[in-house]
Amino acid sequence: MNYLPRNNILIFYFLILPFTAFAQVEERRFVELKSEPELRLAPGEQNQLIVSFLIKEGYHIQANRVKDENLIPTKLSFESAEGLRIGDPVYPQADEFRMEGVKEPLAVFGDTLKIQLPVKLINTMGKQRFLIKGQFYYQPCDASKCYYPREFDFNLSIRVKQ
Amino acid sequence: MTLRIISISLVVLLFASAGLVDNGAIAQGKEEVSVDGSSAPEFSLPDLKGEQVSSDDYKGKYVVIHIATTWCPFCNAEAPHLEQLNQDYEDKNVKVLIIDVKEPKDLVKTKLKDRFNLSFPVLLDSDGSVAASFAPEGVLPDLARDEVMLASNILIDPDGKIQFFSLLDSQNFDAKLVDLKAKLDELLASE
Repeated sequence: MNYLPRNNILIFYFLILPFTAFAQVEERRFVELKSEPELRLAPGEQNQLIVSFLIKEGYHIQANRVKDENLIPTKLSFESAEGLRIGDPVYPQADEFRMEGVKEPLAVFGDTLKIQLPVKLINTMGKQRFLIKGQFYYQPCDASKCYYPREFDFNLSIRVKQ
Repeated sequence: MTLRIISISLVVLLFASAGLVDNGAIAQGKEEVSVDGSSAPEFSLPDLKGEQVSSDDYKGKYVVIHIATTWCPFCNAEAPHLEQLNQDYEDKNVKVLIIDVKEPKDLVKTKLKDRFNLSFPVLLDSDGSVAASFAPEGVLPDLARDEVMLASNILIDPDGKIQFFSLLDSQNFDAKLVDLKAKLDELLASE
């Protein structure tokens, strides 16, 4: 009888231990969305939606146009939505970054990355709000190491002006 | 009795948690990374012709291994120097290998082997498991084990022991392989 509680405690101990390990090893994050992108449009109206990403201090990501064809350019994409026309993203001018031992400077984005997105509301489709899935694909580096390319999924919101 | 066991369990958990935090912190300091002299993991991987290449094939030789991807600017910067090292040391019982991680064969052939005219084997580690097997335990715990190894250089001696190991997560990128060659020269001179 006395063995039952002890066994339960041991089982609890062995079950909980791996979770304590996972809890303390968070995956490294390089980019965050500054705030959920949102735009208000009247039917027929076109405007620029600004999508802002914060690139963590000490890191940069490859620009949308890279000088070395081997590198992976940043890409912002969206799913299509009936009633909306989303134009090609307009990226800011890239910074130059010189890496130790690499001859040509790299074209990169750092700090805050603001991408303009032309959006036109063609038809409200009877909606008050469109929620569009976006994907940000980027390859992060720091001064001495590059990391696997990563995807960042988020939503952008287009509200219909009443 | 039950209360005592609960108390002991909690204390053990507390120490286990503290130990994990501490190990992570130590691992971030590059000075703490030391795998020199340890046995290199064994591997067997296909090359770009589809032929299997094994670590056993290199027993009795010095092997320089660079862990690479095509999109890694450090790897691209280092590739010509690896080729030069291969040519300069090929008659000194030294072999050079690139282990490319998680990329398709055609891409690696075009963007690495052909682009840099590499005369030494490029092996395909399609799931990253071989690269991961070289990663020192506890180093950069927030990265995948194979990711830790990207752009690293390893020198293995004829007995299969690691004699030089550089993770790229340092502020002193050595594209020209100055430190690795110095170690190689030292080992060759001591024979």
